Amino acid sequence: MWKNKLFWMELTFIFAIVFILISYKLPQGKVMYKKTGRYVIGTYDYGLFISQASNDYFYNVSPLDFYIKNGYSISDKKNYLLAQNNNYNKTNSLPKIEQLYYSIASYFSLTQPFALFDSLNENVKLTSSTKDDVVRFTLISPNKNLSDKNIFMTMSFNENDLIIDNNGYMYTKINEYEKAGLKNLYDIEIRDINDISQTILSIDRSAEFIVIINKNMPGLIKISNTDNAYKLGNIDKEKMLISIAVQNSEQPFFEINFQERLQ
Amino acid sequence: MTLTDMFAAFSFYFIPILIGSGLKLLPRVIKSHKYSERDFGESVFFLGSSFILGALALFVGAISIDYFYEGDFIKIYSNLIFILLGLAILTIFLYVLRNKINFNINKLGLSFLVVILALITYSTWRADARTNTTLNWDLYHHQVLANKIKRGEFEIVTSNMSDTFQYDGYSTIFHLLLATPKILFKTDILNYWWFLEFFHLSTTIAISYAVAYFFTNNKHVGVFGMFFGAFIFESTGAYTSLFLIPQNLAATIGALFISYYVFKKDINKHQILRVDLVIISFIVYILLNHLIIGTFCIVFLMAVKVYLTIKSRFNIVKTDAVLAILAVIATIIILLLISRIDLNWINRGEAAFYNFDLATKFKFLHNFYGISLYIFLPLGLFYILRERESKKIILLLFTFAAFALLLGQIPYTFKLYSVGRYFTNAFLALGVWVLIKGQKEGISILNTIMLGFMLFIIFILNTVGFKQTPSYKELATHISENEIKAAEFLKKNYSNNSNVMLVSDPSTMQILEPLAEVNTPGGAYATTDTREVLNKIYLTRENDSITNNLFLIKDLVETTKPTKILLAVSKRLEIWENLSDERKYGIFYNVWAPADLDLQDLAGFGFTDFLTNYTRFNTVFANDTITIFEVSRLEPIF
Repeated sequence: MWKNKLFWMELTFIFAIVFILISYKLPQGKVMYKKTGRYVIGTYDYGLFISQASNDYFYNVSPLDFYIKNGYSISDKKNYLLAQNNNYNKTNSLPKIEQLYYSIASYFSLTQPFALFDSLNENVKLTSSTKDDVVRFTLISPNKNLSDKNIFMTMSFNENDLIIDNNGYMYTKINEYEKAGLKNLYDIEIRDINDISQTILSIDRSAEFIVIINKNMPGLIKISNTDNAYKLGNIDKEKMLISIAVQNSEQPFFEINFQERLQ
Repeated sequence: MTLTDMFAAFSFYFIPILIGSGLKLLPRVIKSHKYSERDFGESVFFLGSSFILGALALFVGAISIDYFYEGDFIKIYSNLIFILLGLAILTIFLYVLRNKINFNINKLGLSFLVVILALITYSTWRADARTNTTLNWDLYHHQVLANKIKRGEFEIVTSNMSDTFQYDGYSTIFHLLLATPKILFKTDILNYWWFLEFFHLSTTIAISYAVAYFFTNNKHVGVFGMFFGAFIFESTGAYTSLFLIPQNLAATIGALFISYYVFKKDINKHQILRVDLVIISFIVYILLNHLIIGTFCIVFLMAVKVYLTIKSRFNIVKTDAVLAILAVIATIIILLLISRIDLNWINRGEAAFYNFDLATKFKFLHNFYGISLYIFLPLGLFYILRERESKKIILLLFTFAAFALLLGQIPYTFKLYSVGRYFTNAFLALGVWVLIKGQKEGISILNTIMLGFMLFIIFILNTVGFKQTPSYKELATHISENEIKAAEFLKKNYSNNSNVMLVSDPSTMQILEPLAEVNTPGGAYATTDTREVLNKIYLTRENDSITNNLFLIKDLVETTKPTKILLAVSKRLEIWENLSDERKYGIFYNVWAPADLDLQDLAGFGFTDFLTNYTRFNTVFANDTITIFEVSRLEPIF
């Protein structure tokens, strides 16, 4: 009788412990994140974001914005890679025990954030991996047909960002004071690109890299062209997206580089 | 260097405990005394009461030196420390010689558990906050006073020493204890605090055991109490276990004393609380340490006395039930009365910010405890009501009072919870024990590990929430490496110079003043007048006007008018300048995390560039976070 009672007490205790754990409300936006330098990479409803602590500017990498381009002109029709409607990042609705695991692993810097989406009942995964100040975003899809397409991965930017390539071409609006300031700081001569009024601006083919400098945040983000993995594509000023044409591959990727100053 | 810092931090507790132990054992050395074996909890009480006696001896010594002796305060005070330590060591040596002290494996095991739990908690807490970082914002203004004492400028009243303290809620006994190791050892301020808060955490864990044990007379409950003490962190308001500040030190000692006196009174022998030397020293110390927390502890102690007196003298049927109902009614009436009084004006309106609604309070409680509160509290309650044992009834009433106070519509209740948390934790520990008592040893150990694991997970998640604010790069901190470099520069070139005043936004002043040892007008507690000047200089952008305005800033304590002002311009200043008026003028808000200069500043569009190019301010220091300008008074002082 006593042993029976002890057994049920023990079971109640174990149940209580598990229940206390799974009922704990996680701090908002702190399920999966990774701090790297002054930036933090985390998950949001539509993918992964890059930001800085105590700053309200976000750079989003969302597979819902990724597209397959038909034709060669930048104005050609885009076919989005994933269904746009009611398609959310599933990492925010993972089982609670997994959320707890990722939150704790993130605290100890042991996780690399990823985003999961449905595509024709199959999981499409956007992963991030960091090494020093470089972050690689990789698209993993079970759909092998992707490797035959011209896929563009994207990253969003902000209203007050300056986007410049290594030749000094400026893809966003800049005033004379800011030009003088950049000249003063980096000794670069800023040049306006042709057709700045266009909504979609093609990135100069001779550009080796572009940098994104937020006027109100320290540091900058650099995206470089690579010979065989991805190439800088265009800048959509309406959708506030930078497109990167990734190489046909089963796991296409692009990398960004965090820097303190322009080197 | 780090070992010295660690030993200096340990000495914060060790020096007063050693001196106090000597004082406590002296009568037992003079008069023959039979050594009696103590429980770990009683040993903790012995150390706690020794700490109080030692601290009071040092404080009385410092007051006497300050009052009677005109010469070098530090020299005499250092000698006093050495004399008291020498006498204490001699007394302890004689006591040990005369008494056979048995080795107690249980006590050693529990001490070991305290250290292990403290190491787990602290290494997790500081996983991203290494030795030159801080998570306790208040340490900066306490360090300002410790620095002054270290320089020999001792006063009893805090507001006489620095205008960072405009409200005298406590004496300088805490700051004297902070300064004492630094007088004896050369230490780095931030490293010293880093280790100091580890030892503070260890004491709160040991005292959590003692409180739970004293109320229940059950070692298992004591051990569970230890786990709750280690991992339950009040991440809003109280911060008891991880922040060493006067209120938390007072609350920790207060909880220890209250529970000990409950433990010691055997009501069947019709004993009531005697006013002896230990209790007098406790009352004096606790009030000196923190007036409000001290008063609460004394009220709790008096409640114990009243309860036990009535219980022992009057043989009322169901006395406990009658008293409990009366206590509950009294608490509700008092709360209702206080809630009707508007206390939001306290501390220049800061109180309103700490007057949370009920939903917010429950949210905070969830952060601290998860739902363990709602599972183990009823179990403890059920057990106490069934057992009806006086000590546990007192624990029930104290926990009830703590919660009633916490949930009442009164400002700062979360700060007062620094005492209440010890009772709640003991109560929860009892609730756990009720559920798992009687199991075999192996299962009991497994259950303890499971409990610890669950609380540890809650602690990490609670910590994640807390660290969203003081976040800078990959660190959790209030201060950056560049700000430390700026402070080092200031210390080397301007420290302890009454002709110089450092001015910046309140947060920058707060963190630089104690590290640079350069006076600021109030630090984070700058007056409204100072804040208005800071606002004006940023907006005016006119050379002479900025200079004149800066020299209008007054320090409320320092009478010498500065001839030079150092203006520290950083991103923090810009963030502060762009805040709403409510935040800018209210002392409840600070720019908690470091911020580096952005393109606007670096490329020459910011305030730094304006001061450099268009004013007569001289740049004396600059890096990517902060630029310090020096400016002299325009007209001579008469």
